[in-house]
Amino acid sequence: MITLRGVSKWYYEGEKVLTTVNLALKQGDFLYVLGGSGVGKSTLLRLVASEEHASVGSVELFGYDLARVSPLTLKAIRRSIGYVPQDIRLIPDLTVFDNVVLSLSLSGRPIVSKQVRTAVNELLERMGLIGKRGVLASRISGGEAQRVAVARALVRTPELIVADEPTGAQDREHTWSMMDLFVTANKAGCSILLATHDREIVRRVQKRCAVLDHGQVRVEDSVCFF
Amino acid sequence: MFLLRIALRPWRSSWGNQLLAIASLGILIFFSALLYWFGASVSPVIKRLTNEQIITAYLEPSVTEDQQVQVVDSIRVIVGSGANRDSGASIDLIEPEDFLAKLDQPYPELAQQLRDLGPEFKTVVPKYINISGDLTGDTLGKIKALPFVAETESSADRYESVSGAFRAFKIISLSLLGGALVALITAMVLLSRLNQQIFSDSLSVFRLLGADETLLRMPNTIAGLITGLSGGVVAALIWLSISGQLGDWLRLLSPFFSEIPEPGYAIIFYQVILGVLIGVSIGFLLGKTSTRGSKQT
Repeated sequence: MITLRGVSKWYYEGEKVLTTVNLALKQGDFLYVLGGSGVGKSTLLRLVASEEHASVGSVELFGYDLARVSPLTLKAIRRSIGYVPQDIRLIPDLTVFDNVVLSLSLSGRPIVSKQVRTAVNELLERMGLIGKRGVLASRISGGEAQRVAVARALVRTPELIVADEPTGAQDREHTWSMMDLFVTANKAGCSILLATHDREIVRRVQKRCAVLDHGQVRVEDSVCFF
Repeated sequence: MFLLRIALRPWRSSWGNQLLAIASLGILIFFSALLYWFGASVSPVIKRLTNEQIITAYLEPSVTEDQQVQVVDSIRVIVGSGANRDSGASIDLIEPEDFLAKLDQPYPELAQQLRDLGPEFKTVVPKYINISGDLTGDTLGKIKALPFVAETESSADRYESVSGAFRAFKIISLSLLGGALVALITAMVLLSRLNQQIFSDSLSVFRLLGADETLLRMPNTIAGLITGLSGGVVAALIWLSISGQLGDWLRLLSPFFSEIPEPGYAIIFYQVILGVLIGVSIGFLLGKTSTRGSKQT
């Protein structure tokens, strides 16, 4: 599903953020991307989420090289991904509910109003956001916004979830309920690529992991304990 | 609905800028319409000044009365097909006696001397036909070619300096109109770029969620529509409030403007359309630029 071959990434300043990264993720895999701040976790996830292009090497998603796909295919790929960026990026003019519905409507699935309302409300309830459903995204807290971003990714039942530090601003209770949702989605066949530096999550929800260190994948193991 | 809410974000974040932009657009659209109306209105005046002339056709001394009637009829046909306005041309046959009668007042002695010539005076004093009015350029040539017409004269150059001044007015108006349109487009482009920056975060989300290019352009297009439409309405309101006096003010400038038409109400509609067209097209064209989530190296 995801194949990174010899991927390097640098920005205008010239310093390499990622250096010759090779990585593979199959359908239904759950992979943690681990590492301290500034090692390139977010860059790696942005490449996979098709937000940026690799400077060198190829990033393949669903069998397509992201640097070479047509705009139409890229749009279809993006519709199959649930992306939770580190900086959240909700649309501040829309309510919590509408932010989630927007994601669903852009996924290209046929939408039946009543079913959507029920499904979104259930999801918001599980995320502890039902009381905020009518509140503008610009008026909720950082932790709540992060949960909305996760709901926005989950609601479209994507084939792949790319989540960058989705629990960074959550208390323990919300962290575990969020991880439960990720695990449930994974069991339903959704592949998950999740960047975190929270060791407790990795210990408690044991999955494969890739540890990034200074732009390189240092360890890749079937089960990660660190 | 989502798109409309996003498109209204510039109003929430900087409503003062938006109001100022609408006022500027409104004034520029009104100014453009005014210059267009002035340029269009002055054209018929220039045409009239250019075409209005008095042609004098001198007949051969030997011409008989029947031939005289034939010439006048021919001129009537030429003028009838060549006159620019129905009531613009008049044809007067001046007999030698009429000429003497006209001469009596300013030069009585000369008139008496001519009368003293007896029947001979008809060979000295010419018969001529005066044709005056708004005539086309080829009228003189056609009259000159008629049989029994010995000579022709024209006063076509009488208003040359005045029509030159009006042509200069028209050129200045059109130049200013061009400048106003450039300023109008520039103002809209600057506002649209500012709005696009305001939308960029949301558009990056749209892009990553799988929106296509057309959808990505929509917030800026809708914002352009709102601004352009509002600017057009402001221009229309200004026009409505002063259009009644516009014609009067121009007529005070010169009697040549007496025939200038009253500004019609259609131009109000055109102002709104112009605002909408500029707003929507610039919003759509600039809606593509920027946004995170685009390809980076």
